[in-house]
Amino acid sequence: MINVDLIISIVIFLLGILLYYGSTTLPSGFSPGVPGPNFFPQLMAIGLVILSICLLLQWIKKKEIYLEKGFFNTKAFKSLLLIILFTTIYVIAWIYEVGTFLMNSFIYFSIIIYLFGEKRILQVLSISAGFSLFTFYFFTRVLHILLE
Amino acid sequence: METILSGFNSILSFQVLSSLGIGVLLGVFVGALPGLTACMAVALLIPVTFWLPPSAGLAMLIGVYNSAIFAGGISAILINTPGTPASIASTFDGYKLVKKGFVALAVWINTFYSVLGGIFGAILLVIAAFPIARFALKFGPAEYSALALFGLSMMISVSGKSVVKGLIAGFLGLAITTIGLDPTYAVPRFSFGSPYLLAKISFLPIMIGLFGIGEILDQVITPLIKADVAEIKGKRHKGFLNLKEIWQTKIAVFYACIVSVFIGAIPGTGGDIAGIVSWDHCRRFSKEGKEYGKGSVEALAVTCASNNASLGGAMTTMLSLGIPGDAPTAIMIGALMMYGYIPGPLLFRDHMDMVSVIVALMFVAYLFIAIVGFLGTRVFPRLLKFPRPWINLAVFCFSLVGAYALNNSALDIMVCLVAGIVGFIFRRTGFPLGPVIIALILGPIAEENIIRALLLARGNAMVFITRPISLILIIASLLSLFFVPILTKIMDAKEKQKIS
Repeated sequence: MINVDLIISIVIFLLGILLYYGSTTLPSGFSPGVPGPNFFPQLMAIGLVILSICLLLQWIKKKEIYLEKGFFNTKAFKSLLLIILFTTIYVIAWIYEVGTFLMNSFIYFSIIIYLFGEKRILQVLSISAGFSLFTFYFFTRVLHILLE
Repeated sequence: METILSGFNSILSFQVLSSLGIGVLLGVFVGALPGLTACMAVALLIPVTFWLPPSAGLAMLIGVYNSAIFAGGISAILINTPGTPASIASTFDGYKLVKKGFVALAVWINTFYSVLGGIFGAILLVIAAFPIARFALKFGPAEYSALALFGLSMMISVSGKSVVKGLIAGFLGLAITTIGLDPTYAVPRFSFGSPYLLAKISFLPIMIGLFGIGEILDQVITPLIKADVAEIKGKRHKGFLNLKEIWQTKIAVFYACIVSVFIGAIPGTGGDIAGIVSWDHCRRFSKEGKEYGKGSVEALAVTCASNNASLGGAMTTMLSLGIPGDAPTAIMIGALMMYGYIPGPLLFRDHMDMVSVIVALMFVAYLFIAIVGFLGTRVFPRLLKFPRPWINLAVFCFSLVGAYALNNSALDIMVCLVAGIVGFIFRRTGFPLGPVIIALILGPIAEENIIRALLLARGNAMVFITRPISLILIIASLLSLFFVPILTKIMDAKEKQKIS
């Protein structure tokens, strides 16, 4: 079993500390009695630290389980990782303008629709091609947005 | 009255009505499919509506929002799984009515009473929103900051099971709003020299990621159970209620509508609570009460009317005070802001034309829903059999391209993807998403107005307590901060007692 709440409370605690540390370089105010640009980030940081401690205490009391250890070995989790990986590659290709929108989208859509569970190859290819063309023409011709 | 009529006049164009029609059809599709929520539909449509004129864009959003709530009842009735959380109460009697063989009748009741409830809510919106907004025009920065704090306190009500997790989600949302230029002094914060971060992260790609990508990633891990759809036969009944039968439901439905509009108007509550509360109240006082939960026509009518009536209440709070009643209205606020309209009393003063358009759209949307609902009785069960991978791909595709289209920024796609992964983690670990959205919208308003109020009062923090409206709102915020968790605990304890 994985103690999700414990991990999250530690992450949130560290995030709160980091936020507070980052906000110490900001000006503390320009008029007496009026908070400066550092006020809100520091308030959030303190709030996050307190809440992370509350979550930790709650976890100690209840020890709720959200994920079983075997979760990471499931086929569904591997599919999920692949979807995130291919989406990241697709987005990076878009940002750095590698390839064309239509080609990249067709390849990416074919992969993820397969990972979503559509195993019939003809359907995979036709749906991906259809979606790529529809998205391209809808956004470029109807909404006049340049996609590449 | 003239203002409202001018609103009807303004929407009588092909572009607005066709946008409304498309919105209604999409809403029916999304609402009827369990797992796709009204929130997700509204968030996904924002990039498309961005390129339309405001009235056409809002028509599409209102169409999708209202019809998704209506269509949520279809799957609740046919497969005992609410399409949207607002239709939870429709499962109590809808599915049982279907099992008795009254399939067509159950679907007809959902359409008729959803439209009735929705129009009732819209009428109360007309009656209540204008006086509330007129009163709220007296607000200054102190009142606005108290109002924003009141809205932020609603993070607790939308937190679900764990208040701590809800608050963590909300504080993370607030922390995101501190990235970029400070709203008062224009000092860069956490931008690391990036012009993208300096201009603040737009909350729309975050919303699209959280509700679109996050939901689909979650469904990869937990596939929905294949719908076992009841076939429409409707042989055992004529398939609709006659006037006499409708008249018999009048007291329960009227009561449910009144209660639901008020529940809907309370920020943080929505159609789900309205439906359950109305169902429970009517069960107690109605002559038909004993039949509730056993496939009662009146009970189904009550739940269908109540969740749609609550929309009028939620829109009243959203338009007149600028506070989201629930997550979809929080996204609608974002859409209005995208068009340059800030919901709240100033909207009524400066853009009355837009208010009248929204009110008119609320009425006409239900006319469209009635047409689609009555014509589609035999089509709806087929919607539930649509291949899931195709829908997931459509949501993914529109989320990513939509996030890009908002600002023509490829970095927005990255923000959308990261938000999607965070949304997935939140879903798997019991963190609610509602508080993030509320924080993203109300955080900057709260910060700006607190500092402005203090600047005007020369640093005197008593300004928040000495002004009566601000004081009342601060007390209301404190009450909602402490009262709601206590009430939830009492309710939980009662429920446990009942079970034991």
